[in-house]
This record gives sequence, C-alpha cells and structure tokens, in this order.
Amino acid sequence: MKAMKAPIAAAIAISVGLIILAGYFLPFPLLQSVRAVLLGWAVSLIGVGVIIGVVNLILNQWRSIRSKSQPIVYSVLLILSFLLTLLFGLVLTPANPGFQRVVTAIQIPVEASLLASISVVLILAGFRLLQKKKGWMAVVFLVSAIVYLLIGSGIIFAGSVSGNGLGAFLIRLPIAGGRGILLGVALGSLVAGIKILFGAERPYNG
Amino acid sequence: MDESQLTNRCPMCGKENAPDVERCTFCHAALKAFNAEPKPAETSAEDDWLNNLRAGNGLDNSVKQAEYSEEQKSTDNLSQEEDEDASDWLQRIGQGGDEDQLENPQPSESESVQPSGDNQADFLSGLRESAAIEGEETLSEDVSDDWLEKLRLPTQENVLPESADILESSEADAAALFGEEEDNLIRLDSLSSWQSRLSLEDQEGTAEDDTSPLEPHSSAEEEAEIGNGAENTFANAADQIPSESSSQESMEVPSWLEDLQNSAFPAQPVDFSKESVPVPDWLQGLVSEESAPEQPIESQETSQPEESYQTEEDDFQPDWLRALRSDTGSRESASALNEDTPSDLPQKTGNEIEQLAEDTQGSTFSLDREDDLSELRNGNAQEPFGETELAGELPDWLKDFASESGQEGLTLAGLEETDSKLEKSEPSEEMFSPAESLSDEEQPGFSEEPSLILEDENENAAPEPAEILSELGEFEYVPREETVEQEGEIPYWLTALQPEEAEDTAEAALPFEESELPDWMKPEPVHDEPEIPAFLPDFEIDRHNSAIQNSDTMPFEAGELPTWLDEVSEPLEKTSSRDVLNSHEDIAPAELPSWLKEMKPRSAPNQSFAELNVFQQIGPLAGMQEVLPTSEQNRTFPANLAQAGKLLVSDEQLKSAEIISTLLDKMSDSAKLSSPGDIKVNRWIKPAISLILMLAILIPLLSGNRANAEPSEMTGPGMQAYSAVQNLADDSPVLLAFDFEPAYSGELSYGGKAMLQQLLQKNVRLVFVSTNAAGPVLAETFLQETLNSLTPEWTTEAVVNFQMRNVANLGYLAGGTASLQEFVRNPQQATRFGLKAAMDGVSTWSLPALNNLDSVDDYALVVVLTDSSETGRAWVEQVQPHLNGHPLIMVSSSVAAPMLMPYVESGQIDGLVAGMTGGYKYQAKVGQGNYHGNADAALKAASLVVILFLSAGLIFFGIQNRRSNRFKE
Repeated sequence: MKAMKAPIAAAIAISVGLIILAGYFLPFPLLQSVRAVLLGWAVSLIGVGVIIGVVNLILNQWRSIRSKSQPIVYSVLLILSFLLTLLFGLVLTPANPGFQRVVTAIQIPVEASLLASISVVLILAGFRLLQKKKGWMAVVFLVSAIVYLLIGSGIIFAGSVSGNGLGAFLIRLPIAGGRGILLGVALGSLVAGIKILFGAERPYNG
Repeated sequence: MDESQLTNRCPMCGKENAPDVERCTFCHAALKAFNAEPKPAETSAEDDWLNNLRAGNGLDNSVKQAEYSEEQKSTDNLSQEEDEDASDWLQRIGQGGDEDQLENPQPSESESVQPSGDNQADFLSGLRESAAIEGEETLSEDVSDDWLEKLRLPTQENVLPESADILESSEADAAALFGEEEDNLIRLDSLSSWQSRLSLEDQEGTAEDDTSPLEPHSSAEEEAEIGNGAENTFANAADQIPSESSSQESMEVPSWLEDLQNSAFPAQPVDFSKESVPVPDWLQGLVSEESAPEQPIESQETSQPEESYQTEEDDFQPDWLRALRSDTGSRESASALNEDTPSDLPQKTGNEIEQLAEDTQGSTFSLDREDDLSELRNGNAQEPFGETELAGELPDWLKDFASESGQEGLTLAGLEETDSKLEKSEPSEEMFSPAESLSDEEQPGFSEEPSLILEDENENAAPEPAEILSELGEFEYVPREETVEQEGEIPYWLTALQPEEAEDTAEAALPFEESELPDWMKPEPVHDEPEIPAFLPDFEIDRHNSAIQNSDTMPFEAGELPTWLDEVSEPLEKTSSRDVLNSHEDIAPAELPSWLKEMKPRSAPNQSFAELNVFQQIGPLAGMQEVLPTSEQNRTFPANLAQAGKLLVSDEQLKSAEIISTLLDKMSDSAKLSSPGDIKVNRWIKPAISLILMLAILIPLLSGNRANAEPSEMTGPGMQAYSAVQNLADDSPVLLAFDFEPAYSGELSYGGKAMLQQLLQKNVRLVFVSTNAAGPVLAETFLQETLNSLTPEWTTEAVVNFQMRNVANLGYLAGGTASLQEFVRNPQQATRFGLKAAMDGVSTWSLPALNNLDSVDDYALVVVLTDSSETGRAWVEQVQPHLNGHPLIMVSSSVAAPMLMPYVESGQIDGLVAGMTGGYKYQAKVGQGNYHGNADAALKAASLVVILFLSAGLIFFGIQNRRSNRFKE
C-alpha cells in the first residue's frame, strides 16, 4: 500500500508544481484557473494545518498534566489562556477593542520583553566571544557588530552617505552582503523547486 | 585326687585358680581338660598308674607288672592279631634302647644294678602291672631297680606329676611346631585302643582302679627276653604279643611313651666334638651357652632308631617332614628335647620351615604349611594352622578333644591326614572295639605326650631323669592369647616353645639378638596398601600398580620375576594412560595456522581476577569480585581486531560513525560544567548588563526635552517612501500590510505611525491586510493611535467618518505568505471575511473603502510594515509584480533593512523606512513635532553601552588570548 502511495504522491506533487510554474509563465486562462484552485486548496490546507497544530498543542499539555512528569502550572496556564482567548474571541470577535487589548496589552509587551532579554544575552555573548571562540573571525564579527551599531544608532554617519568614501562603503557593505545572501537563497529555492518537480526530493513522503 | 585338681592349678601356667573356674584366669587355658574330674573309672585308672609313678612304687609296679602279666596270659590269646602290630613298634623301641645302650655304655645309677635291657623290660612290665593290679603292695626287688627308679630317685615324688603335666602341655606345642599333629592323633588313637582295652580289662578283671597304659604287652616270655637285651627283647616281645598291638600301632608309638622310655635311660653327657652328626651353629651356640646338664639331652640327636622309625613312617609323613628329618638328621630329637631351651627354636624352625616350604611344594599338606610359613615369615601368624577352618570339618570327638585338651593348634591338613590314617587303622579299631568304650577325655591324657620326646627316648643318649624333669619343669605353656597380644608376629605354638624363666622377660629368654635373625625372620615393615577401587580410571589403577611395583615391599626382586611376568608388566607400564599422556615423543607438535595465531591473544597469561584484585566497577554488579570486568577483558584483544571489524563495516559507515563520534564529543564539551569562576561571573554580569542598559535608556528619556531637536536629514529609501506617499492622490486606495510580530511594534511604530499620519493627511482609503494573525489588530491599534495623535486637528466625528468611509480591515490571510498569490489574483476570495464583519455584521467587501478594488493593482500604493526580510521578500516577489507599477514601500526593522536594501536598490521596493532611526527621521519629515528626541537619545545611549561591552570583551579576551598564545609559543 505504501509502495503504491509513493508514485501517486510524487505524481501529484510534480504535476501541481509544474502547473503552478507554468501559470507564472504561460498566460492561459485555463491554466490560471487551475493554478488559482490549487493555490486556494493549499491555503485551506495550511489553515487546517494551523488548527491541527493548535489541537496538538492542547493535547500535549493535557498529557503532561495527567502524567505529572513535569510541573503542570505552565500547562494549565496555557490551556486556560487558550480556552479563555477562544471563548472571548468567539463571543467578542477580534474586532472588539477590548479583545484587541489582549494583543496590545499582553502580547506586545511580552514579546518586547523577550526581545530585551535577548539583547542582554547577545551583549554578554559578544563580550565573551573571544573567550569561547578564538580566531580572527570572532574578532571580525565583533568589530562588524561594533561598527554597524555605531552606524545604525546614528552615532556616526547619521546623514546620507554618498560617494565612494569609507562611510558609503560601510553602508553598502551590508547591502552587498544581503544581496549575495538573497541570491543564494533564490538559487537554493530554485534548485529545491526543480528537485521536487523532478522527483529527486520527496518531502511529502514523510 | 590330683593336687592340681584340689588347688585348681593351671597345668599350663602353673598358677593357682579358683576351684570353680573352668579356665585359667591367667592364661585362659582350659582347666577342665586337666583338672576336671574325669569319669570315675577312667580317672582312677589313669591316676592310679600315675600315682604309682608319683609315689615311687617302682618296686610295687614291678610286682604288679609280674602279676598283671600273668593275668594277661589268659587274655593274650584273644589279641594275638594285635600283638603282631604291636611287635613292630616294640621292636623299634627295643632296638632304639639297645642301640642307645651300645652307644652309651656308661651305666646310670640304676644300671649299675641291672642292665639297661632289663630296665626297659621292667619299665614295661611295671607299667603293665601297675595298670593291671591296683593297690597291690607286692614289689619284687628284681624289678624295683628298673628305669622307674631313675625317675623316682632324682625327682622325688613331687616332681613327676608336674613333669607329667608339663609334658602333656608341651606335647601339643611340639606337635604343632613340627606339624606332627596327625601323627600324634594316630598314635593317640592307637593308644586309646589299647588303653580302652585296659579299661575293659579293668572292668573284667580284678583291677578296678589302677590302669596301666602298657598293660597287655607283657608276658612271661617277653619279660624273659627283655632281660637279654632291649633289641631282642622288643623283637621277641613283638612276636610274642599277638593280641596287643597291630603292626600299625607299632609304628605309632606314642610320644609320651618314647619320652618316658628315653627318660629311663641314664643321662650321658655328650661331647659334641665327637659327634659324627654335624651340629648347626645355632645349636652349638646353645651348647656353649647352656649349662652342662643340658648337653646330654642334646646328645640324643644321633639316634638310629629314629631313622628306622622314620623310614617306616614315611608313608604317613609329609614330604616336608621327611626333608626336615633328612636335613637335620637326628638333630630333631635333640631339638625336641631342647624345647626347654627354646631360645634356638625360632631360628631352627625358621631355617627348617623355610627349607621345608621349598621342598614340600605341591602337596596338600605343604600348601597349608606354606601358608603358615608365609605367615611366619610375615610375622603375622597369630593363629595356629587352620584353626578357623577346623571347626566345621572336625568330627565330634576330635572337636571335644581339641577343645578340652587345649590343643588348638591343629591344622586342617593335619587333621585330614589324621583322618586318613584313622581310616587305615580301622581294622585295628574293629578288632579292638573295646577301645571305643574309652571316653575321649582319656585320650588327651596320652596324646599330649610330645612325640618328639618319644623319638628322642629311642636314642641312646638318655639324660638323667632329674635333669630331664627339671628341664621339663622349666618349660611352661604360654597361653596363646597372651602370646598373640604380646608378640603378635609369632604364633602361639612358637611362643609356647619359647622359654619363660619365671620372672625373666622374653628378652632374657631369647638367646640371640634380632640382628642375628635371618632376613626372612626379621619383622618386615607392614605396608598397608589401600585397596584399589574398581571404579577408578585406568591411569589411577596403573599408578597404584606402579607404586606397588616400585615399593620395597615386593617379595621378589626384578631378577626373580619370570620372563612372562616381565612381558606382562612391561607393556602395562607403557600402555598406561598416564604414560601415554606424559610421553610426547610420538606426538608431533602441531603448528597453528597463521590465521589462528592472529586470533590467539597476545597478552600475558591470564591471571585470575582474584589475583588481580579486580572488582566490577560499574553496573548492578559493582563491587562484586570474580565478575567479568569488561575493561580488563578488552585489553586482552589483539590490536588487529579492529582490522577484522573493518571487514564488516563499510567506509561510509565508518565516516558516519566518525561524525557521530564528533558530535558526541561536542556534546560532551558543551555538557561540561562551568568552572566556579564562570558561575560567579554569570551571576553578576547579566544583571549588570541589564542594569547598565536600563540606565542608558532611562537616563536619555528622563533627562531633558529633546522634542525640538532636529533630526538628521532623511535621505535615500526613507525619502523615497516619503515621496511615494506624498505623491498619492486624494481618495487613492492604499494597501497597508501589517506583517510583523507585536514584539517589533515599538520599533516599527515610529516609521509606521508617521507614514499612517501622512496617509491620513492625504485622505486616502486605507485597506489593512496581514499575513499574521496579530496584524489586523496591530493595524487597528496603529490607526487608532494615529487618529488620536491627530485629535486636535481631527475631531471625533471626523475620525469616525473617516473610519467608516476610508478604512477597511480585510483581516488575516490564512496560509501566510503562500496566500499572497491568491490575494493578488482574487483579493475578495482570499479575504472573504474582514476583521469587523462578524462584529458589525456588515460584509467586508461591501465597505466603501473597497469599492473598485478587485485586484492588487487597483491600489495606488502598497505599504508593507514588516520585521523580517523574508516577509518583505515575499511581498516583493509575490505582490510587487502584480502592482502594475504602483509603488511598494516598506517600513522594516533595522534587522530586515539590510536584506531589503537590495530590493530598494533594484527598484522593486520604492522606499524603505528602516528601524527606529529611519522612523525618527520619517516622523520628523512628516511633522516636526512628532519627533521623539529623547527616544532617539536613549537608543544611541543603549547602542553605545552595547558597543562598550563588545569592545571591552574584544580587548580583554583578545589580550588574554594573545598572552596565552605567547605562553604556548
């Protein structure tokens, strides 16, 4: 049964990929219609996947409470928060200003605090970087961080940088690096798509 | 009555016992056989003639003998046939006596009165008379000077009974010594026959009590011939006494009679130097040691009658006895008489018996003798010959005889021969049937006479009776049990012959030392060889056999073994399993193949774990000894074992294993515990950094008012974004995508709110969309906060109208960036339900802000607020191509800005407001009063603190590393 599923799944994956790709380049209405339907199915499946993920999260926390292998406080808080948010969201709807305060009054400060903690950890890691990793790359990394902090914070080069000076070089340097990374990501995405289309990679086999 | 009976004196040891005991309490000898009261008629007959002897009535006896002879004349005719037999032995006696007289012409004290031949005749006649005539007082002087005088004179009256008892006791021992039990029994039988006749005659005749053992042999003619000489006398007597003894009886003269006969001869000292018969060394030693009175006794060895008697008895004597006699000649008689000097007896008997054992092989008798001799050699002769075998085969009368007489040393062979001789003598028994009337108890009284003494009596050298009796008196019977217990290795009959001189010990009695003993007489060490169980394996049995063969206890030397035995024994040694295992000569050592050598452990020989003191270190068996320690065992494997394992593992697998090993090593490195110093640093440095950052942020925020400060001029992508918004026409649809996380709302709020304020000022239609779930709420928040910021200018009604007419929140695009393609192609399908549709109950797409907005290219401007480059890239890649030239500007975080800058420079993104710094500038660009100088100052202060920390770490650890590198160099 599994042997029969594999070629069928590959055929479906390859055919859908080819149809979507062809829809980018070929302006055929039928092809565009098929492409739109397939994309709609994909979005719906992604939404179902989110629901499955939420249910899986609640069940795992519930198992943790029953097994008592871990402290149940956090699991209980998570389940209660989920149920209350779901309940308030179903009753008040997300457009309710009071329900929106769930995001503005809870989610935004929490996430912002996490970012602040990360900043402290990153500062300490940068401080002890040469203690853990010895070499010129660590030094370059630290120097780059310091320089671009100065540039990003506006301490130096606060205005526009033009010309071929050091400031312009330093400003264009990350852009150049970013572009190279984007090109690499683009090439990687292209190769991965091609491998999937030709059946070399079959992530859908699980 | 006998004196011994009154006092219950033991005839064996001579000690007195209680009257009621049946056995001697000292020597355990049977007292009844000697002391118990016999039947009246028999004891009276026996005691009377002994009393006659004891009382010194020699003369009376002679008279009685004469009378008795006359009475017997009437009865002689009845026993003529017996006389023929009796004549033979009487002839021998007579010859012996005659020859003795010829050889020893020295007369005794009594011979000075009468010739010796007369003495013998008188002796016989006296006995007959004493047996026939009881209590008769008539005593003729002619016969009073007979040999009884010789007995009487030196010994007095009290000597004879003791000597008689001793003779009785010594008879059995002497017989046992020389194996003549059978002869004694035969003689006993013969004696009993004529003795029984005596008893019969006593019953029939006048004599009631007194009986003589020699009753029927005398006659007038005989007595007359006796006076002429012993030889003629006995010869004639044999012819003239037809009714007495048969020829068979004549051959079987009782020993006691011979003893008495010899004792009647005068003691004649013998000069051994003149003896023709060679005297053995041991005997010569005895002669030299013994006193002079003993020498005459030993001189009786040379006795011709003994030889004649011997030749006639050859038919009844075993070979060994013949050899004994032939070898020793007349020495036997002397040795028999020298029983009172038994110091030489063991030596003599040893030599003789050893010779006899060699000469008498094959005969039934010799077989028994060999057994006994072997026991004698081994010193283990604890029991007389065939004693244990005797009980079941002896006839009743012999059993009684044996038990009562104390003659326990009868051998089975001897008894068998005795039986055979008795069978031969049956005719005489039939003829003298009255002899059967005699009780068995009488017989021992005669049979206990030592036969050798009788033989010696036939010799010419007769010692003095006093000396004989004195010497006999010294001879004491040694009880068997005591002898066995004390000496163990010597049979009792030998110890009985050994002298016990009153209080002297056995050492004093021994005339020789142990070193003088022959080798075979010396006590050999007894090797208690354990029995070899049959279940032992072959090699164990072989080992025992070899040990026995190698031991010194082997009776034979190697040279004495027959060849066939060597042939049998030699292969046994070679073929024993042990020898085969030990011999490696025939087994060629095998060579191990190379592959097997490789597999052989190369380590030193394994020691036990106990010796190594190895304990299991880990696992549930930790602490236990003698448990396989895996760590120790691993060391014993050869080094090339890994090569053998390579055969089973491919290179790829080895590489994978190496990778896993590297990962595990890294994990172990990361799992290392921090040093105590690191722990202390981590404890205070994190709070310190947090505190410093907070101070750096709070101090600019709280210090002064920098609202009027002029920010730096906004240039580049920020200015392009500003221009793109500025270029929007009134009531143009603008799509605002809020695709960022709430955490980044603070960073993006400066540029986003400033741009949203600018859009409000342009009075455009705002459509909010987001690929994030929190995006629609964040859009409402940003809008509300921006409207609030326009409060003085914008009234609440204006704000509500604006929201009702120009604002539409499409909500959340399910599926993330994947749904952008669908949103681009069919926004209404993708955002079917807006944020406020459920709450307001109004369809989203019915809002006035969404009029004529069926596609993405209907929007005049697409503004994307994002915190990541990926989301910005998705908008650029998925939506920007479908905008149909409409600008796409982005407000991003400082992190995403470098990755979006390429798209800005490529023109795919028309403007970019990056981070807080770009927001501050954009805010300042939109409205001068909106600039937050304190926040910008706080950001710079915090960034400066971070730069300081990083610089401090770089300098500190950089120098430390440099020092460490120098130290290593």
